[in-house]
Amino acid sequence: MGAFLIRRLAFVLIALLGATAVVFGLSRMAGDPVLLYAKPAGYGSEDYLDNLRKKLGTDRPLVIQYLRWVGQLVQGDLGRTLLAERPVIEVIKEKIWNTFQLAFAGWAFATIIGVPLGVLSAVKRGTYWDYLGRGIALFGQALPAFWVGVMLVLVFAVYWEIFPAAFKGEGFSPKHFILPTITIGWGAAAGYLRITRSAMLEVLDSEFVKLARAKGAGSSSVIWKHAFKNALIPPLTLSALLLAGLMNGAVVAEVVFAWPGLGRVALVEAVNNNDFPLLTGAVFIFTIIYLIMNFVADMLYAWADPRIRYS
Amino acid sequence: MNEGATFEARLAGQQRNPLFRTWRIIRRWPIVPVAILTVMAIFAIFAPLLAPYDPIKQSLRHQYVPPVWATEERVAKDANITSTEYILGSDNLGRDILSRIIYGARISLMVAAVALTSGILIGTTLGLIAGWYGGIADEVIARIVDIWYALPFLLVALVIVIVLGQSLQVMMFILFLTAWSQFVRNVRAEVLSLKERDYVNLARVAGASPFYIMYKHILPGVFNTIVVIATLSVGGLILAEATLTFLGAGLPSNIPAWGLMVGEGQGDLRIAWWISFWPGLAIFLTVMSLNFFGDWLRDRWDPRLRQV
Repeated sequence: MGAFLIRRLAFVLIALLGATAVVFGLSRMAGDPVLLYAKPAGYGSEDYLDNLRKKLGTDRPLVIQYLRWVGQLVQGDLGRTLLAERPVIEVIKEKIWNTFQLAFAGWAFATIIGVPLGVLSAVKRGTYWDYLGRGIALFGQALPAFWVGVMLVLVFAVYWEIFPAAFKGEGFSPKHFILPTITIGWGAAAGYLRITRSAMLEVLDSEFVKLARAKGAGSSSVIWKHAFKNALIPPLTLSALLLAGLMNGAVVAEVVFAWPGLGRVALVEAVNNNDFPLLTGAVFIFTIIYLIMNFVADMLYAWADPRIRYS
Repeated sequence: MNEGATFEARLAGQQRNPLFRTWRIIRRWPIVPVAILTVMAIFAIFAPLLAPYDPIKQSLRHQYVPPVWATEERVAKDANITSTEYILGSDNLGRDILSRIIYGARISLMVAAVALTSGILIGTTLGLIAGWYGGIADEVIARIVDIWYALPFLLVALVIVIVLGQSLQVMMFILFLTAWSQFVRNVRAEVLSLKERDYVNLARVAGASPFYIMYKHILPGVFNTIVVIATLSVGGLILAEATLTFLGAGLPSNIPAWGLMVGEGQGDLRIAWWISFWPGLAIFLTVMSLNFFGDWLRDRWDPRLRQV
């Protein structure tokens, strides 16, 4: 286990270096960052720009700039936003909780719908339950999440007026969670369902389940005690990846439902205002979350399935 | 024994039932998906001939025209519109939605096709190199692919769009970036097993160059895998393009793209549901058909790829 852990940790670090290099390189490809800073104040004179370059350190070679940037990142300094000149880390801290709440709700929804239906679909293979499960899996993979969100608003907020369409600052209630949660959780539920179903089918077909049946174990005992426990590994691993994916994917629901999350801030504000420090900061944070969840998935996998550790 | 006989009798009875036979053919062959995809392909190729209107021509006199069958709503809005105009309705600027969907098919399929083709070329080449030569080349390529898988795609795409700007070419480039890596992985794995085969060793002994062996003996062996993965991934590419465009970070707003149209109708849901509804339906039907067809092709051509 120790060697496996170290190998995976090393991979996370390398991937993180790669990711920061990509983000940094891209942000410099956008042109001279000094001009981005100078633009709001009206393009200054050459002298002024030179001074600014010295102040920001962009007169140094790119590699040095990158290393300095990484050094600042390590100390938790993500720079300041261009427009409001607030520390980027503050903006992120303020918004990321909203994104996490939404992602977690979507994740819980997907788990509650996807895993039991996957089991049911495998156990009752070939029946209407199975058709229902496979239908949901197919729809979930092919339906664009943003369209699901817009259609949910159309049906439940515009026509029936059961649930609110937008996140309002005041009078926020759990009802506001329902539509965004379904929007992002639907596709994830389909993923769970597919994986649980195929893992269950494989296990149900294995020798030890046949033995359990042959020795006369009750069918619920066979399904839950013998089969489900062993079929749990793929959905368990997937759950960590899905939570990370939903942190990113939440941006779709944030845009449709005007949810004040990090994705929407990074997207709407950073994209519209060319606010690079904010965007790179947000991307950096999301990448870290993504890599950590990848790592957690690996660890879960290794913990649940000892064969992985030794291969 | 007796039960078996009744079962067979029932089966024979079912087989004579024309409904049952149609259902069996539909289950066995991907008729519906292929039909939908054919329609979309015809839309894409013959868009200028098929579209009743110019997809970007605005007509402020004909804003928010409901679809043809919603006659009551139509009368309530404007009695002057004859029943054949704007079959699926018109949008907030009076553009014909059907025409925009027909042109949208062209955009979606073209972007996905270009991205996929370049993804196949680059991915297969890298997979061949990694699998055939092994060693450092393999190690480097495999690590790059691993890291690539670990990055949050949506955000990387956003950064690229901001840096390079919004255009068809940038969209193709972004989709290419998502497409290539899975070809590397799968082709590499195939090559590793193929290169140990006797016929490959014989070709080597006969003095064939590595390039010749890869082209003549290895590539035909990985062909099925490539086609199956390509088919299975088109749907995802179209979805990714539509999502980015919807978020305002994909195709520029003067192009009639499906994702963009859904976003344009979002503010007018209260008065005109059809603006957002039709383009989303087009995306859904296309992606669903592609996935269906891909699944079918995989089961036929390369069942080993069936992991999940």
